[in-house]
Amino acid sequence: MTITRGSESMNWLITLFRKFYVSIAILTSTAQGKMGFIITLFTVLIALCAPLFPYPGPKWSNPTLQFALPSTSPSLWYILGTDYLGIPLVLDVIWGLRYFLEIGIIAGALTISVGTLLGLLSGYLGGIIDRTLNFAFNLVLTIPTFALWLVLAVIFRSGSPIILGIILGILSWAGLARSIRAATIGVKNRDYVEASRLLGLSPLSVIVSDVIPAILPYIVMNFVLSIVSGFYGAMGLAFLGLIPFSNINWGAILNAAFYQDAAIFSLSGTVPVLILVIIESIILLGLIYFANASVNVFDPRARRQVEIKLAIREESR
Amino acid sequence: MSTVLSVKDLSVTYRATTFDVNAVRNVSFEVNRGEILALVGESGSGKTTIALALMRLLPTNITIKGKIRFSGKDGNTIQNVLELSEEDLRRTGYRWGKISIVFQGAMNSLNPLLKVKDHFIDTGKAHGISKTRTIELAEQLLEAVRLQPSRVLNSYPHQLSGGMKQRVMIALALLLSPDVIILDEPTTALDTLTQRQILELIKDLRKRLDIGIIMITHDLSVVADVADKVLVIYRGYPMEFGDTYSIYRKPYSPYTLILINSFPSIGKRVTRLKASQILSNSPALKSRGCPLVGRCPYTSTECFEADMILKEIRGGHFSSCVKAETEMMNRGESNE
Amino acid sequence: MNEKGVNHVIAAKGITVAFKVGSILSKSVMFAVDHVDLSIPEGRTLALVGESGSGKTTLGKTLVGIYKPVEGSVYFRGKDVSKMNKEEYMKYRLKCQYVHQDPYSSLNPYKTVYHILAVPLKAKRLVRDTTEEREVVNKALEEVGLNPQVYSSKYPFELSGGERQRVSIARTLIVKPEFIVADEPVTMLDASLRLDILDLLLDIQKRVGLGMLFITHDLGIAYYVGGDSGEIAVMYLGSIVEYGPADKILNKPLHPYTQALLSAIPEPDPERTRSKRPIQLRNSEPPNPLKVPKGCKFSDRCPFVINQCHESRPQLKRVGDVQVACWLY
Repeated sequence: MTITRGSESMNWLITLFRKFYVSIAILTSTAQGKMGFIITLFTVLIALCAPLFPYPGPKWSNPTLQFALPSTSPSLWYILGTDYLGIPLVLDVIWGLRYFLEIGIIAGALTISVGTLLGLLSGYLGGIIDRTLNFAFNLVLTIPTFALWLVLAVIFRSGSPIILGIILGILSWAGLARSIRAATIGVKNRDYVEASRLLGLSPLSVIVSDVIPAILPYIVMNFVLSIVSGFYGAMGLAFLGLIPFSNINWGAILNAAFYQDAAIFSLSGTVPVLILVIIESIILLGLIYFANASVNVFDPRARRQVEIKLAIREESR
Repeated sequence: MSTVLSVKDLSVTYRATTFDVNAVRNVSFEVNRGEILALVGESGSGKTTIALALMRLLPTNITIKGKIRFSGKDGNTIQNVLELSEEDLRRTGYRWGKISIVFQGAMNSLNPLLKVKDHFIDTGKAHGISKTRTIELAEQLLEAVRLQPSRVLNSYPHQLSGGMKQRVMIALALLLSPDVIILDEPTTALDTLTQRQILELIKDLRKRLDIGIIMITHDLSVVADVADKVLVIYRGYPMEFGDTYSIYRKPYSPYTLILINSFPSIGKRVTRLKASQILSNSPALKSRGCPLVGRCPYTSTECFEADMILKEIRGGHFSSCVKAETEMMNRGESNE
Repeated sequence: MNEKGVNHVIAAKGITVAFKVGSILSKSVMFAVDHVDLSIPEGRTLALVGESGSGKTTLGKTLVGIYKPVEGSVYFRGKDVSKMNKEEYMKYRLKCQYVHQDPYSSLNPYKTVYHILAVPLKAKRLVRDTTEEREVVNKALEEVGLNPQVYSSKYPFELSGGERQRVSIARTLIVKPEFIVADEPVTMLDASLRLDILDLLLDIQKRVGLGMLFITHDLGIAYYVGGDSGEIAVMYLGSIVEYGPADKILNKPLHPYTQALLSAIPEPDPERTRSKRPIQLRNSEPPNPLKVPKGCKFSDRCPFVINQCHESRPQLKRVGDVQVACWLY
């Protein structure tokens, strides 16, 4: 008895690994996808491993080394130079990545959970619920996002990733909700959904089985794009000085580089700006490529092709 | 009966990643003036590919072999249309001037923002005809397809019914007085009563305009009603060719028989040919042998080596079935 | 219409289904189904024939509960559907199933054939455990002529039109229905596959004793399906104009519209089809469901029209073995 149960859960685990492998294979099947996957993986790893590195706190601060150029002295930590406090930039980058990713994920989670839920309800249930919710979406969309961010940032005056995440995600759900609503209405009218309802399946079952697989690409795309937007939002607010300065927020470093050290006009100001902008561009590009490539992961046709290749390789061993 | 189009051993091969797909294999047929040839086949048979090959509309990375001879009413004969370059095709006004086509569902590709008369003017302009002359021709043609020019020319497509749109498409295809017109599934999306009108129209045009009409269809009732000659194609292979009455009276290919029986007549109970499995309709991949092998109840060893070339069985009636002179001949009349 | 002693699985009395159409500026109501009565006994087939715009699909969907009539009632095994309690209603919905016309959109493209068939079993708790579930699914696939070993794990995009339609039929059978509406099930399939699917449906009907409503625009197929013992109903602009035994009506149609249809369809026999004289209608354009003539709906096109046709709408009247809605009788 124990043996059978064991092998059943082993089978289940193997199936899971298989599915995972297929997804990765599809993600990396294009050049864009490969790049996106590698960059995203790298970024996430760094963010997770940040605690292995020293925190760029006051202990590292050194006024004499403000905006120093990259060098290997006094130690390897100074390989990218320093920030406005004289702290090694490399530590700011590592911990900043973690910080921004936290904010982005919170903003993203807020956006897709509220947006998907309301969009699904509105699209699937129709009638007065749809009319009310749709009105709400359109209303929220008219609120100027950036203005609201400014106001909220000043009110809360916090650098905490959770608060920032919420502020940055607070309006973006409306756009997603509208897309999801449109997609749901489109799927709702398809014959196979009608067939499910004919078989007496509950609305929840129909939504989970028939509607969500069709809209998953939208959801994943939007999640990644929310992370990107959260990234920029947090950097932007710090750059404008609307949230408390923190050296792990690259926006703050950019702000200091421009206003304290006349970046563009002076070498010591320009270098950190360039470094940060290049790193951030690569990361965000990687995320976007990842989002693009992720759409195909849900396509049964693409999955089947990979599964067949996998099966052929296994046969020939 | 002058022959306007003569096709010999037409073969079209696509290259799909690692293997070749033989969409059309050694198909031969003739179209005479004042005659309707029905090109009969289901999905995957290659019938649309043949039409595109005749129109020289296939992409250049596809291998086309064979000979298409065209003898227009102006006396000029093109020995092999497949050998003409793009420039030659333009110079001789081949496409639309000598042969034109009404695609399946074409009535849905009328520009919803343009009036019918603008459609004519656009086509005329593309072939160097003046606006006044185009309108003149359009009026004549619309009358020929039994529409009222005054009403239709100034209408938008959405103001016309399906049958009317189909007739507009036919008129557009006749604008340059081609010698051959190809109609791809002209009645598929239409109601029974409208279909009847279009079929009567096609018969009428054949008589009046003395052109060759190639009608692509899968509907064997429509073929029986309208066609003079029939070419049956299955998965790229030519199965049978002949005049309509002989083909229906005594089909020399089991596939033809299966198709005829798939369209039940009212009042007649059919005895079906027992095909042992579900027929599959994707283009055949293997290189020799009849695609019906194993499914046809008359299968024997010679069928695996059949060359699938049409051979004359009786005057004007061709078949590629190796059993044509044995089993099929002895079957007796169709539907027994 | 109600024969004594015969168990009618589904019946409709005076049902009318209406839709609002039009823009903000001009709203109007279209009666897709207009005061229709019909009944289908257990194990028998009714072929519903009509062209596009006749309301046949709407009628079929109303019988299985997808649309609700604004007037009249649908009866399942003699009980009025609108007066059923929750339990009875759920049973009615489960026992009445529908096969879609388009095999390319009737299956969930993201799920395997096994999953598509297993979901209703799980949801309606028709099986006790996974083993029984697998048995039932495999049996359903075999019933429709598909080998479970090959087809269970396939996705719809890996199947041909004919195979998809078979899966669609298997899905309706898996809940053990008593009544099926087959809406043009073979119209979108290749010709050589059609009779196989029709035979499959007829075979299943005989074995299980299903009542079947077979919707089609093709009279030849209507004859194939209903010719032996079935009935046929001819629909025009939402109303049934002729109703009765299929072989009687198809051999000797009474209503001018049925006569026009029969004379217009081509037949797969050159001698027969070329000697037909199609009846000319007064108006050659297809009817507009939004502009229905006063009186008899066919009065603007009927070649045999008389004064009374313009004044009032004829009801179905018994003439011999069939019922016709025409003032000529």
